[in-house]
Amino acid sequence: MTDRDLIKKLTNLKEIKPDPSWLKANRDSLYSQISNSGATNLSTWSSFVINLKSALKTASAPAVALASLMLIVIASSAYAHLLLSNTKPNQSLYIAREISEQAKLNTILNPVAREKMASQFAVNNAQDIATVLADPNFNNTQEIEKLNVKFNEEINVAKNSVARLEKPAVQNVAVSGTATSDEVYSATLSKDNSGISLSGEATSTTVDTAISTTTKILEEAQNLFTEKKFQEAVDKIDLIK
Amino acid sequence: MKNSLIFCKKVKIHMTLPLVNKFKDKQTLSRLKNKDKEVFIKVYDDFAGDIYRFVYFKVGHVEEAKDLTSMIFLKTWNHIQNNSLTSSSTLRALLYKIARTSIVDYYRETGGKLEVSLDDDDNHLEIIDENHDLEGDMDKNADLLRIKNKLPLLKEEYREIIVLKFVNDLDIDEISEVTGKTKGNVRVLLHRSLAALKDLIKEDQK
Repeated sequence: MTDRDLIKKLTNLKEIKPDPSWLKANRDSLYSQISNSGATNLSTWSSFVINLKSALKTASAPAVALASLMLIVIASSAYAHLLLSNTKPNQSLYIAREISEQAKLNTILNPVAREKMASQFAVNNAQDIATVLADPNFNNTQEIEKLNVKFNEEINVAKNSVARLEKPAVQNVAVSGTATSDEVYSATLSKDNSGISLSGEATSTTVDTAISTTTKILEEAQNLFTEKKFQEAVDKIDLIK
Repeated sequence: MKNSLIFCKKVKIHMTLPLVNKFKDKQTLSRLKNKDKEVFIKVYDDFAGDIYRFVYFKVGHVEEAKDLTSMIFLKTWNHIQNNSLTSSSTLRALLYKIARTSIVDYYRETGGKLEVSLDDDDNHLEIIDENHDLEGDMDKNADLLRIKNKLPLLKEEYREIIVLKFVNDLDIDEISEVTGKTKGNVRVLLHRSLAALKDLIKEDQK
């Protein structure tokens, strides 16, 4: 007899089983005994907590650590994003917002998308500067001087980006009358599709009009800012957004 | 392509099944700790047969095996309520550990000796064979009866390890935990116990 045969025969000893009626009677007896010792049925909440704890115990320690780390990173980056997006140019955290914007721009490889984002950031920053200066309580002369310079820089960045953005779009439209709408209305800085039509012979003209409108609005905002009409400059920039 | 898909499925099952089992085990232990009687009864349904068989091969008498099995489940319930559950990796290992100590305690208390005969008339072996080869069945029955009769002649240590591994399907890790021996030691013992049983059967055949 080989080991395998022997093991096979040993496995057949599983057929030795207790008497089913005894099993049932003993089951009932045990049930009543443990019921007397305070056993109950668990609530849904307790079951949930137990399941959660069991899952944590089942996962290996490095896996739990990695998951916790990822959760912390995601939560903190979401919180930081929220915090930075509400930072104003006169606050110390504003530098972090600028760095974050620069980092975001550097991660985008598509030049059209990058220009679009750069122009959006510049417009937002210009509007924020104008909003801060529109506040009558803000009277830090040194800071005001800095923000004036900064506003003009941002407006120039926005204008340059728009100009760079429009060139390839116009060329594309000129080459084929079926250019994708993405490229075009990213250039026109319009939130909705209204006023932008890419079909037919009128396409090129529409885009040109959009460029001049955007640039015009930016220039008007700049003029209003120079005239210290900050609130009006803010409203004007709102038209682009 | 089909083969590789089947292979991937098998690998996935092989990798996820131990985790699922581990989760279920932890869940059951925690529920028992929280005095969930339904779970306790499910544990009883799942393990009563195995524990009874283990005890039966230890003591060799049906009535004693029944009493001890009942006691072991009650002891397990009390043990879980009164102790931290860090000492055992699985619920099954814990049950067998308690079963072992209960048997020893039982004989210590009653002043009896652990003499195994497995000569109860209540446990007739029935071999289930799909082919219904009567002659083959008789041969198998004879073989099984021979094994059953030879088991008590083995050293207690050998018999225990054979029952745990080949009759009750515990893995090496669990046997190691239940018996308190190293895994290497368990493997050596398994090899020796099989050889010893084979020798006993050979002697009988002569």
